[in-house]
This record gives sequence, structure tokens and C-alpha cells, in this order.
Amino acid sequence: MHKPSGRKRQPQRKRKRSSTVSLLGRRSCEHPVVSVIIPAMNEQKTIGHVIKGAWQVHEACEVIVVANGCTDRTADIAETMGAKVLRFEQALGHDVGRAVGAEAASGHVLLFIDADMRMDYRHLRHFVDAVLSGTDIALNRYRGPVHKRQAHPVVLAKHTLNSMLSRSDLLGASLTAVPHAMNRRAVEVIGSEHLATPPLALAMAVHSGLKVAAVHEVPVGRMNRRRGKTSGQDLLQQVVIEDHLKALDWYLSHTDPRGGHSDLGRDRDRVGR
Amino acid sequence: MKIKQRRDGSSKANKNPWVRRALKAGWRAGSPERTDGGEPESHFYASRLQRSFVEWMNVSMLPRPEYSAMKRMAGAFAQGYAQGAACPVHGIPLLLKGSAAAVVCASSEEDNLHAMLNELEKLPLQEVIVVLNGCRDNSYAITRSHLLVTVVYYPDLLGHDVGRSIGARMTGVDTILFCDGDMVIPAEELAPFIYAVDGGCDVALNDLNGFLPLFVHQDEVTHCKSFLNMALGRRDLGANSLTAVPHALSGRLIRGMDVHHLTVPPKAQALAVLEGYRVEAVHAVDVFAGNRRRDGNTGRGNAVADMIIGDHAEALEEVLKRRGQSGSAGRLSRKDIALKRNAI
Repeated sequence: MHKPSGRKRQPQRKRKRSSTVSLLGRRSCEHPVVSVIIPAMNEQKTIGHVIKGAWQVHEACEVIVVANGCTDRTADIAETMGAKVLRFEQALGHDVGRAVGAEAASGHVLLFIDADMRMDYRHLRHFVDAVLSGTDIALNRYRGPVHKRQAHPVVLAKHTLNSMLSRSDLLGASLTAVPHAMNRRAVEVIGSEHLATPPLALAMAVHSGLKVAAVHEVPVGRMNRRRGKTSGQDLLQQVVIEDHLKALDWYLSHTDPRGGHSDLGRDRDRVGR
Repeated sequence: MKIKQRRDGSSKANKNPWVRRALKAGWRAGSPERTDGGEPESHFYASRLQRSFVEWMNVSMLPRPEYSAMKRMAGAFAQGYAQGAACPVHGIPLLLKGSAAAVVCASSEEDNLHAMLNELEKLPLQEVIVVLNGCRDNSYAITRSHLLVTVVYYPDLLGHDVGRSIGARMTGVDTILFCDGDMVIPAEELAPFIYAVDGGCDVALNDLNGFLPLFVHQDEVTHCKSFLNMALGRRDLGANSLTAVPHALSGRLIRGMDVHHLTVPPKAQALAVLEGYRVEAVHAVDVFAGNRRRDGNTGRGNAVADMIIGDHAEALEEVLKRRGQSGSAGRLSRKDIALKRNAI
């Protein structure tokens, strides 16, 4: 329903307060096992719910909210709920919050989620458990909408990158999608700054022999905040495609022009000059 | 009058005045053969049928018709010709401006090679180049029995698609059709590719999109093909690729591009698009049903699939290299995206 401008929507105070109060005691512990990293930009509607879920992922965990470019109460809500809040007045840029959050994390396992995605914490535990039991990078097995002839460009890019990395078993799983978790070693091998370009990070992880697995499926497509087509969706698509090409470029320059795939014994010289 | 028309089996087609005219013209062109006993044995491209069809079409039908229309004319003309000459005709006349040839790559395909070459001989081709490599059977003798064929023989296997480069550089014609020896494709299904290139297209691809299953059931090779086209800004091509046969290339493209690239078909396709050649999907031939299944080309993650993925890597590397040079990469700012999406 359309609301006349100037009239603020009244939040459901009663429910919100009750949930906050019960978690007020929760503070990031000193030696966390799990760091939950939540980049957020103007997500006051959902951040509370997301942090609440994050606290339940592990007994010893910290929640890091990278509040960037916020003009609403996102950071305050996060602080009230006991999260460690990194405040940036300027917007950091798509996925850059992940890199910044990873830099600040002190846990053994880093779990990345989005601030706009309400999700049962039990989903999240699968990723943490996988990393705790030896996987270096635990990805969401969700493939995106694939029941069409021609899939979305981003879905196509993810599948193709995995094939190029000789990991077609991962299908459409990607670091681009949340939730995903990785251990500290993976962050160090990849370099936290590269987490801002998720496909590149994935290419680096696979290339350096990290154990990457798609461990659990969370159909995040339906959970994403609905945004109008005008609000940068097409631009985002371009950035994600661009990221995949960058990843491919890196991978091919670090392997060979064929990405390590066989030539099946082609006798190319026979063509002659 | 009406009843008379209905009695004829082909009355439906005859409603079209052009088809009727083509039939008549064919009859006129064919009737001298009945009296002079036919021409001496010659290749189809130089036959009276082909020459008279092209002549008649050029005089009576301008501009150049769509393939489907041309095909009906050709059918009617040949039918009329056969009636006029009182002997059957073997071949499909095609309205061509330039010359055409075919390149067939084969290796131990004696079962299908003969039939394949028979189909090619029905087309007005000036030559058929068969690149035989690593044959362990009677393929050579079969190939030699066809008059039109030039055989290039390599005792050892050359590897996938190397024969395309070798064949392409041996011919100087305007249109080159590429086929595999392991699959018999009727001449009627090959003609559209030649016709498209003769009409100005540079890369005439087999339009396989209609045969594809849903994305979820597509194989990784199909994903790579679609992604390459998308990266080239040609999402309209879907998963169509030079990797698939049949397809036809223009002599202009062959001469303008290093023929070595044809060995890696996706790379040739990428270069064709990047350099502004006309790349189109022109006709659909279902090659999935007829493709010979052997060890190594079935199932996910097979050796051939791995090679084709490598071919696409090579093609994308070329695309990326050129983007890097032109400085068109990475213009979009992540910050702008965030602001667009999340600003209140």
C-alpha cells in the first residue's frame, strides 16, 4: 500500500523489543570459533532478524556487521543486538563489505550472510559444520532458476566458471551466493581483499588446491529482498558477469590458455604455415 | 478446370504461380536433353539443370528469395526438368552467385562416408575435400571412388578439427560447407548453409537451440557455448557454435582469418564476432540423434567434453586479451551498484 511521504511507518515495536531484550546479553565472545560477517547498507528492516539468527549458529561466535553508507538505523540496531559494528559513512561497494569484515574477523570459521535475507539459523549451521569438519570452503548448493531453456546470465556464468575450473561437479555453486563459510586458512590463501570479487576468490581457491564443496542448499533466490528492475539490478548483473570474466582471466593466466584442459592430441603443426 | 487441378497430386503446390512457372521453365530447360541425348557426364555444379536454374532465377526472380521460397522453386524446376528430359535428375539446383565447396573430416567412417559423399554430390559444389586421418579401414578407397573428391590423407590421427583448417586452406571458393564423415545429413539439410553464406553471411551456424533441454539438464559444454556467445554480446545465438556441424563459412572469412583458428572452433567463432563478420544461425539440423557414440564422447566429464571446454577457455582468453587491450574491461564501479541498490 502506498504511504503518503513524510509519515514514517510504525514498526511493530512490541515484537521487536521482546526479541532484542532477550539477546541483549549476547556479546561477541573473546575467542570466537565462528565469525558471522554481515555487510549491510540500509537494512534496518531485516538486520535485527538476521543478527538474531546469526547468534544461534555456534556457542562461541562473534557477529560482525559492516554497516556502510547507512542513512538509517541499521548500525544502531546491530549495536543494540551485541554485534561488533564497523561503521563506514561511505558505501563500500557491492561485496566489498565481505573483504572488510573478513579482515576484522577473529574466528576460525568465517560465515558470510546477507543483511536482507531472513533465514532459519539451522541452514547456516550446515556451512559452519562442514568447515569445522575439514572443508576449506563450504558453498551453497543452490543453482538458481535453472528450469528454463535459457538461464539467467549470472546462473550461466557460475556454471561455466566451474566447468572452466574443472569443477563442474559444483554445478552453479559460487562464492557470489550466500550463505557460504570458509576457514581462516582459505582467507589467508585467497587474500581477504579478493573476497570482494567472489568469483575471483573461488578461482584462486580452486587453483591453490583448497577443498571447496557445495554442502547444503538454501534457495536464496526467493529470500532476496525484492527490488525494482530500475534499482541497479541490470547493473549488478553486469558487475557479476564482469567478476566472472575477471576470475577467468586470472585463472587462465595462472594455468594456460586452455585452463589446463586437454587438447586430445591435436597435431596443430600439421596445418602448416 | 478445378476438378482437373485437384486430380494432380501436386495441385496444392501448383496454386502458387511461381511454382507453376518454375515447373514450366524446368520443363523447357530439360526438353532439349530428350532430343540431344543429354550432356556428357559432368559434375552437378556445371550441369545443365543447375546452370539453367540459376539463369532462370536471375532473370525472373529479383530480389533473391528466402531459402524456403528458393527451395520450392528449385524443387519444381527440377521436377519440370526431369519431365522435360524424360529421365530422373540427381541433384538439387541451388541459386548461387559464387562458387562452393565442402570440407569433410573423417577417420575410419567407411559405414557412413559413401552415403555422405553421395549427398554432397547432389549439391552444386565445385569440389569436396575429404581430410582422412588415422584411418584403419577402407575409407580411402571409398573416397577415391567419388569423382568430385580431393582426398587429403594422413596416416595418423590429427586430432579434433585439425582437418577443418587443412581442408579450408586448400580451397579458394566463396562458400565452404563443413561436415563430419560420421554422420549422413541429407543434401536438402545442407543446402541452407551454403545458400546463407552465398547470400552474404560469413558464418552460417546450425541452429541447435530448439533441440536443447532445460538448462538444468544441459551439459557443461552447452553452458560454455552459451556463455561464450553471451560474453561476445551475442546472447541471441544461444548455444549455437562452430563446434557443431554442419556449418558454412565464407571465403572472405577464411582468407581474412588465420586458418589455424578453425582448429579451435569456438576461437574462430569469437574472432569472427569480434572482427565484425556476419554470424548467424541459419537452419536447424538435429545432429544429436545421428552422432556416433564412442568411448570418450559420452557421459558427463568425458574426454571430448573436456577438450571442448578447453577450446572455450582458449576462445575466452582471446576475448579477454582484446578487452584488456581496448581498455573496455571493468568500467563498472561496485560502489555505484551498492548506491543504486541500497540507497534509501
